[in-house]
Order: sequence, then C-alpha cells, then structure tokens
Amino acid sequence: MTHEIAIPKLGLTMTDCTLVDWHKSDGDRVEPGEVLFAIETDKITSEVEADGAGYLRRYAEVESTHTVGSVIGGLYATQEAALSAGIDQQEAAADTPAPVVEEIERPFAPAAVDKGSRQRVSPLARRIAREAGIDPRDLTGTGARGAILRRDVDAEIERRGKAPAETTGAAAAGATGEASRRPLSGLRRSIARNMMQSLQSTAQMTAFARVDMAEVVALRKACLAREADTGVRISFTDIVLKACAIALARMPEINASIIGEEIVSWADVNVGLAVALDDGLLVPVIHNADRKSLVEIARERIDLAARARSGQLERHEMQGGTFSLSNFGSYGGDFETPLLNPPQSAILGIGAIGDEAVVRDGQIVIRPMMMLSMTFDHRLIDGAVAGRYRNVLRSLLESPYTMLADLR
Amino acid sequence: MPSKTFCWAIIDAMHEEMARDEKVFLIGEDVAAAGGAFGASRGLLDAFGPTRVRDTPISEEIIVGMGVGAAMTGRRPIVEIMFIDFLGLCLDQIANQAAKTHYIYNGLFKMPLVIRTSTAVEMGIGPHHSQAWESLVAHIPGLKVVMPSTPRDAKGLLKSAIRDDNPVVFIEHIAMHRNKEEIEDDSDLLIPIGKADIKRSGTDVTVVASGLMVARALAAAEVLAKDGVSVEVLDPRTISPLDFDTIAESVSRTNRCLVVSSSHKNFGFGSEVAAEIGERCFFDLDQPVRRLSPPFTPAPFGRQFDEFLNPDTDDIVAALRDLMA
Repeated sequence: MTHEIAIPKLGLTMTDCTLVDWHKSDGDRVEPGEVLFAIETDKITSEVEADGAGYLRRYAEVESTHTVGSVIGGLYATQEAALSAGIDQQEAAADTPAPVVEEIERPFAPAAVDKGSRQRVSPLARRIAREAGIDPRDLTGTGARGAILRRDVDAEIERRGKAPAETTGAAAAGATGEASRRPLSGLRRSIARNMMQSLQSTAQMTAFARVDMAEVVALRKACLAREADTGVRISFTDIVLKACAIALARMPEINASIIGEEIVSWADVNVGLAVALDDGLLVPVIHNADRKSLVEIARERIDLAARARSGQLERHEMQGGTFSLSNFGSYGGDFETPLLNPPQSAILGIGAIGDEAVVRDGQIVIRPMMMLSMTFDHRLIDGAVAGRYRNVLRSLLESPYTMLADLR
Repeated sequence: MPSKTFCWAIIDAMHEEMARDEKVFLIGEDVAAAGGAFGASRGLLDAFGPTRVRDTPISEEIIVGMGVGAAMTGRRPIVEIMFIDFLGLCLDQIANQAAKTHYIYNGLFKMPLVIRTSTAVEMGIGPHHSQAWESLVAHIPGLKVVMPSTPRDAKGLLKSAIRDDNPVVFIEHIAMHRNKEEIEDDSDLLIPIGKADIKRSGTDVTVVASGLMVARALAAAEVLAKDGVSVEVLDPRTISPLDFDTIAESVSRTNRCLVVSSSHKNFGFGSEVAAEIGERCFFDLDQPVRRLSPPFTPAPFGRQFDEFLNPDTDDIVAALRDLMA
C-alpha cells in the first residue's frame, strides 16, 4: 500500500507553501522520522520528517507551490514499485488531498520540563491514550501523586464517545434524563467559537488591582447634576471607558495586536463594551473613544446598547475594537478573569463599587473601592507593561480631573 | 477421590516411582528406619528394603556426592537434605557437579538426581533452620527448582522430577505438610516442571505467589472480592525455569501485579518476576509491580516474630488495596 506524503499544516495561519528541497531521491529507502523535504512559508523554511516508511517516489518538483494537504510524493513497499509508479497514480493521489492535520503535534515527545513537575502516566494509560488519539496531558490523573491511570483514559474515551462534538455537559457528567435539547443559535455558536479560539490561540493572564473610586463618584455626581442640560445620564462605565481610552492613547503598546507573525499597533483607540442580551452577548465598539467627550461616549453607549438588545446593530458597529471593557459590577461581581476578544490584546473587567475599610495615612477609613480585572495576551504584553497600564488607569480614576490634560 | 496430606502425597510419589523403576532409590538422614525427620518417607523401608532406602551419616556432602555419582552411573537417586539451610554444606556438589554434568560431558552423562529438601520458614526454629533459599539455588544454571504449594501439585511434580534426567531441587514447606487435598488415584499423575498454575482466575490484578504464600494470596483474594476487586492468583510451582509466558499473559490482562514470596526481596524471586514483567509487559502496566517479602535479615528464634517477618494475608490485602487505589 502506498503511503502518501502530504504537505503538513505547520501553523494556524498556513495555507500554502513552496517546496524548496527534497532530501531524498526517487527509490530511496525512507524511515519514519527521517527528514524528507523542506518547505518555505512566510519566509520561514521548515524541514519535514517522514511519518511513514517505504521507498520514495517524488510527485512534485522543487520550487513548486502547494496548498496544505496536497500530496507531493508517495512511499511504496518496494523500490521497484516506487520507481515504476506511473503518472496516473501520481495524479490520482494528487486529486485526493490527504486529510489536513491541524498543526504538527508531537504530543508524546518528552516535554522539556523539570522532573518535579513531570506528569506521571502509567505505561498502559500512555499506550491506550495513544491508540485513542488522546494526549495524556489533557487528562487529570486520579492515581497516586496525580498519576494518570488506565481508568482516567477510559473515562476520557467514554466522555468523548458520549459527548457530541466538543460539547460536554450534563450528559457527560453522568446526569440522566435531558430536560431539553435545542440547536445552537447563530449568536451562541459564534460566541462559542470566539471564546474557544480566544483561549486556544492566546496566552491569557489576568491581573487585579484595587482602585479608590471616591473622585469618580464625586465626578459622576457632578455630571448627574448637569443631566438636565446635557440630556444624557453619564454612568460610571462611561467614565471608566474614557479613562481606559486615554490610558491606551498614552500606551500604544497595549493598543496593539499580533497578526500572523507581526505586531500591529493600531492608530485609533476603539473600545468595545460588552452588552449582555437575554441569550448572548454583543460587544459594540465606541470608536476613537480617547477623542470623545464623556457626553458623547454616554450618548453613543446608550444608543449602541439599546440597539444591541433589539438586534439592530450594524456590522461595522461591532468591528474595529482595539480593547474591551466589561462591567460585571452591575451583576454584583467583584473580580473575574475576562476572556480576550482576539485580536485585541487586553480586556478590562470592572467590579462593583463598594465601601471598604482601607488604610490611609495610618488610619482606617471607609472608601468606595473597585476592583480592576485586566486580562492581557502575554504573547505581546509582559506583566510589567500591563502593570504600568493599570497604574496609569488607576491614577486617572483616582484623579479624574487629570484626564483634562489629555482632552482635545 | 481420596484426600491426602502433603506429606503422604510426597510418600506416594516416591512409592509409586520406586515401584515403577527399580533404579530409583532414596538416601538421607533418618529417611529409612525413622521414616523421615518429618515423616515423609514412612513405609518405604518396609516396601523396598535397606538397599534402596538408606540412612546416611550426618554429612550432606556425602549424601549429595553419592547421589551425583549414582546418577552419573545410571541410577535415579532421591537424596534428602533435611533443611534447605544445609545446602551450604553441599553446594559444591550441587552447583559445580550436578548442575554442570550435562554441560561438561556434552550430554554423555545424565544427571537424574532429585534433591528433596525442606524449608521451615515461620516455624520459629531460628536462623539456621528458617531460610527460604529457592532464589539462591534458582540462580544456578543447570538446576531445576520446584516448589509446590498443594499436595496434588507436590505429588505430580515430584514424580516428574524423579523421571527428569536433569538435577531437580525439590523444596517442601514443612508448614504445609498436614494440608490436605483430594488426589486422583493415578500412578501416572505427572505435573510438568516449568508450568505455572492459575489457582484463581481474576481480571483486576495478578498475585504471583509461591509455596506457603499461595494459600494466603487466595485468602486475600477472597477479601478483595468483597471489595469488588477480582484477583488472579498465579502459582509458578516451578521457580526455575520460571513460566514467564503464563505470568506475562496474566499481567497483560490484569495490568497490575503483586509478587509474594517467603524468600528475601533482594536479588530474589520477586525481583526476577518484577524485572521480567517490566521487560515483557511494560506497556500493559497500570501500576508499578509490587513485591512482598520478609525483611533482609536472618530469622530469629521464636514464633512470636513470625507476624513481623513474613507476609500474611493482611499484608497481601493491604498491598493489593494499595495497588488498586
């Protein structure tokens, strides 16, 4: 039987490549793991190892371009078969691209970690996991000192067998008798996909900080007093959003994204605001929030939120965000670990403002405090940079009149 | 079917083989007139006379040396060494003569010698009479080492040993001498040397136990059954050559293994089994192979120490529960 040699998918963004070199000739014996050919993608050359054994017949020429999954050669049982393989076979093979394997994974290669943290997997569990295509690293061990035993792999196999697609739920948890079953709505499907992609494609870290909101409380009180004049009711969210935008304008390294292999800094500061719906969540965007007044922000926020809830948002109003703000304080939350909205690199969650006993000048005093929960993509933003941003933000919130310095 | 004690199974085996083949004879300390130090040759002197059933002086070297010479010249001797501890006195005859005869003479001379000996672990009779040396003799190539755990196995294996052209060390546990089992009346009851026996079938864990430990493993299996754990108890019956095929087949099914032995852990039977399982069944193991053995120390006088020294049913139960955790 012929073993097809296909172009592997070496990265999430890889769609095609150029074959730059064959390391073996027609009729050569090839063993699994031997470097077989080299491809170039995005200016990076990668060597690809054989994933099977046999005698090589090359179908594709060097310098030709190929899409992921296309067959560029075959491994045959005998040298004669390889050398006599006709063009028909080559075309037949080329017409049926091999299934695309997402990422080249070597899940069973020894991880480069110290022995203290090395995962303990029984040889049997490791074997069964491999046969079932399960990465033992995804499992939780129930054996001595967290060792993964056969029962842990069996449980995972059973879970996968029961759970349709990726979802797990009551059925997988062993509950019997479904209350109902309904298809995913388009919005729910989209949220599910985006949230999974968020966690799987970025390195998320969440840091917390307390902010004294006394000055913001005073500012909002003053704004409310002018509500009759402006015709708009300014919320705490508007003030925090404004402060976020000013802080982003001051720190362009936060207002940036990793796109492919590049870092893109955004010219505009566009802050998305999470709006809860009855069944779902939308994040309309307030564009150029750093250049808008509090009244403008409030008016826009009220309009966007209302139309989000009535399903009347237009596509462009949900696009272009460079940062997100989520106010879970309105549901009484103090801190959470918000999920990034890729390709954005940061999201701020704000909790409820509540009176707390804090120490000021050696005295215990009661101050209205709020928790900042900031998740950032550690691929791009290091902890120190994120900390600096938080400090800028805290300073703006604790002395909101300094925002005047940044107003245009 | 008649029920026989372990002791009478040994006597019957020798009686039947001596009746069957006049070349078979028995020598040793007190085997003739006294009927054996432990009564395991009662009636043989009356049945076969003083030429074929003979008392010897207290000299293990002479006993085994006579056996080696007789075997080389066409007889089929059974020699008795009262305690396995005394093998030290005649180890040269066993290891350097009996075990090597086939090899040195390229098969020209046979060595149909049976060395019957007793191990008395747990009898409280002190450091010189309480050792389990099956691992020690099993280390010598050219020797077969047999250690039965039931009367029927004892009879069938001893008869096979007498008919075997190789030197066989046949180890009897004195503590089991009064154990009874029904044995069919068959003068050709032969149990093959080198073949393990599954004493209890199970699916969750394999206990490899030998000699005195087999009954305890079976008792422990009963306890574990109440926990819902199905224990397989495997008795190799022959220490050398060890039936690794049966052991590997069992462990490949159960994925867990405990080896229980009354010989020391260090360089011993349990280590050999565990190492071989590691080589053959690595990818079938869900837990490390465990061994239970007495500590690496001489045995003291007095039975009050037994419970500290030798694995008992509780120890086996605890080890099995640990393996199943």
